[in-house]
Amino acid sequence: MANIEVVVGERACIEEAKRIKDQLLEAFDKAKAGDTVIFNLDKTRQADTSLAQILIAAEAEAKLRKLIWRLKDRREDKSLSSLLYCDFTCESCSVRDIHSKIAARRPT
Amino acid sequence: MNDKLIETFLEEASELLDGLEDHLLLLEKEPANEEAMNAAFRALHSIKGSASMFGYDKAGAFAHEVEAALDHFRSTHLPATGALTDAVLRSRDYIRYLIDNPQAEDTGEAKELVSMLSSLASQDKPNNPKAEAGPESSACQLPSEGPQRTWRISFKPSTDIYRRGVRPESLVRELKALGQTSISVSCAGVPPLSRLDPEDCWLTWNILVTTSSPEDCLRDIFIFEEGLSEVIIKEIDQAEFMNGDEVKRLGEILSYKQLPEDNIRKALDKQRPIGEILVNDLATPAELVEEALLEQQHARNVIQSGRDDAERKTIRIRSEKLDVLLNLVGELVTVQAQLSQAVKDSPDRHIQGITDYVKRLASELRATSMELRLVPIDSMFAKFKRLVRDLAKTLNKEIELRVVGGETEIDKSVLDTLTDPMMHLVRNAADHGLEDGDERQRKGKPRQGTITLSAVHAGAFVRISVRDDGKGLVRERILERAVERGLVSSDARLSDEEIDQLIFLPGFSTAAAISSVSGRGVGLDVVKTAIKQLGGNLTVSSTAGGTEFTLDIPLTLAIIDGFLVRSGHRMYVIPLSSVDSCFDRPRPPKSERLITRGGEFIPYASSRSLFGEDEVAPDREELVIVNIFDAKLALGFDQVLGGYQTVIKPIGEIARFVSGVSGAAILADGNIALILDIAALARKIKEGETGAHL
Repeated sequence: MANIEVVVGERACIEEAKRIKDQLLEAFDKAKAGDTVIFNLDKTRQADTSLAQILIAAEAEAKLRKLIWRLKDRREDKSLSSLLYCDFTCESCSVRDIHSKIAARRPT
Repeated sequence: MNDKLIETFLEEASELLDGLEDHLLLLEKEPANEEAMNAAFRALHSIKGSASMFGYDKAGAFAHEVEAALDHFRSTHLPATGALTDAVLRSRDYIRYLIDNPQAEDTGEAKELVSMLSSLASQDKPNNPKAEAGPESSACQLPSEGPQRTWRISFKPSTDIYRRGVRPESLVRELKALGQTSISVSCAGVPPLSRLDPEDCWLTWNILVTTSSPEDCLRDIFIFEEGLSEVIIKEIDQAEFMNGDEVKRLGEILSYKQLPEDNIRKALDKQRPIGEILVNDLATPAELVEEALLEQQHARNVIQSGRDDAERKTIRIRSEKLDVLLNLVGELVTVQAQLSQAVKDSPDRHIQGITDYVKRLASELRATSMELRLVPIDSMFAKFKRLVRDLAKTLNKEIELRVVGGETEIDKSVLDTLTDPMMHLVRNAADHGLEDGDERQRKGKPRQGTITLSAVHAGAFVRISVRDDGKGLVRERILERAVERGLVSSDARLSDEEIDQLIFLPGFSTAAAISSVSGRGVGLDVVKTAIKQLGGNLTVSSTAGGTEFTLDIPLTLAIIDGFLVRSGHRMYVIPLSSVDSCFDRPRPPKSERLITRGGEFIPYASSRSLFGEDEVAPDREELVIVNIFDAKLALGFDQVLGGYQTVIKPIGEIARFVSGVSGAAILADGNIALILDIAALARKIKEGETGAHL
């Protein structure tokens, strides 16, 4: 099983969104089922909600292609919840099944 | 207007202006830092409001103009330019001037600054239509007085929102600024990557906000999205998700939403997460459960935020009142010592018990009142950020200010007295210490010079240093100038250390010309005197890699935990935090200058040789080993009497003639004890002037 890494630059905002998507699709096309695609945001200092959308879409795409999706972010400030100002920590926003989402929240 | 209210306003305005300066300096370094921008804006807004309220109309009106310009950058998310921070910093100084001089005649500066700020704002006409709404559109950004209401907002941006140059997150951020929010985002519409056009937006925000701002403020945020994005704003009843100060359980919230109680009970019986059961097994709409979950989360946030506010409650007290309190506590400590002495031999155990209790209370009271006066040294260091920035501009040098140990606490009165001497040292470091960028580059150093301010506790002292990585003291020049001024003879042979000491002589300066920064010849001698008056000491060390001024300052000027010792009929108090250990031994010969302890050589002096004593010395001596920063000193006394809490009484002019003594204490029996200044004693011993007697 191979690891394919996509390294994103300092900025990952709407202006860069198309380029980032193309980079990712290229990596997905190279990967075979069971491979891991690592999305490396260590260098990224500026990001916006367009990156959050890409993360969600990429995870869904990875699932369709039976790839393992990993996010690498040393600064830990580009989680989906922080990019979206969301106060909930979902297992993954790409899990469309609302039931799983609710279960993950463990209500009192 | 009530004088006390005015006083409070002046104090608050001063703090707000200091805060504003900090935020602007941060913005200068990080122009895109939106938090700093918002904080600067909030500070200006508060100054504007309170200045107008307290009749400082000129300051209020001027602050309004500055706020408007700053808000242009803030609301359009434009990075702060250097010209902007520069102009706002100047404006901040002018607001301070208007507050200090409310009747001041218009000097034209206000006009100049306002026109400068307006032109800066007009240079940046952004695409974002929000910018054209002007500064008043953001008046809602600050929470207003009034009851808190909770709103549910659903914001589904139009798919082309990114292409229109609008960032949905900026609208969410504005909403967050209005009050307590809980936000969930639905990502269900986002397609897999291969089908995603990344310039389309498929996200939906569900937001609960509890705020005192009126509904219009909420709607204003989305005003430019009207007819484009889907925005639903609806007030909800707080009782729906909160029960007084308690978070409602999910079942209760759903029951409020008129979900059949029967279903809720059945779900609870299944002992699985209620939301999961309701959706999976009981066909409850998932959206409804989602809503309830968000409300529950919001209730937790609102309650926690209320608790946080309660925990943060502080009151403002004039420092003079703390001085009075500390004096009273000092008197109490003295009286308590007298009481303990009086009942020491009493057979009445009840009285002895009460006396012990009083002693413990006095000790706790003393510790608490001392803590009240302690403030982090950062409150002084922060003032130098602006100073260094301005000095860098004036001197055309690149200077970075580093701060280490800013959290170190020190008595406020000590800190207040330290500000001017420290300012002097920082100016000196920038002007004389650091080379300009070109010279540094020629020497292989980075163009930017560094001034490091550091503070650390060491026993009863705080060691503060001002260090630069400049060229170091130019000793040839110092010596030359000292000879010119007749301070030393031309054939004097001085060591490097002795030459360094010359800079502390009155009127000494090597500056080629008098500048606004330094070089007036009123300098380091004044600094040294100020530090001495605090019971501290100022030293300098210098190499080719820079200069370091070190200030050893007593932690407090009021009460200390002491260690009472006796020699003959004289009593002395050693600051307890300096004491390392003590032991007794046969009295050594008068010539002894060193002892060995644990394989270590420690300088030694007998209190009898330091201060003199007529009474015959006993055969044995008690040695007290004291710490002076990273060194030790052994002092010999006739008897060690133990711990003693004492109030420091200044001894005024006498202190000038008796080195090694920082004050006096009144003992329980009414006698006087001298409080030893350990650092000064160490210097005295080092210099070999042990012949000085009282």
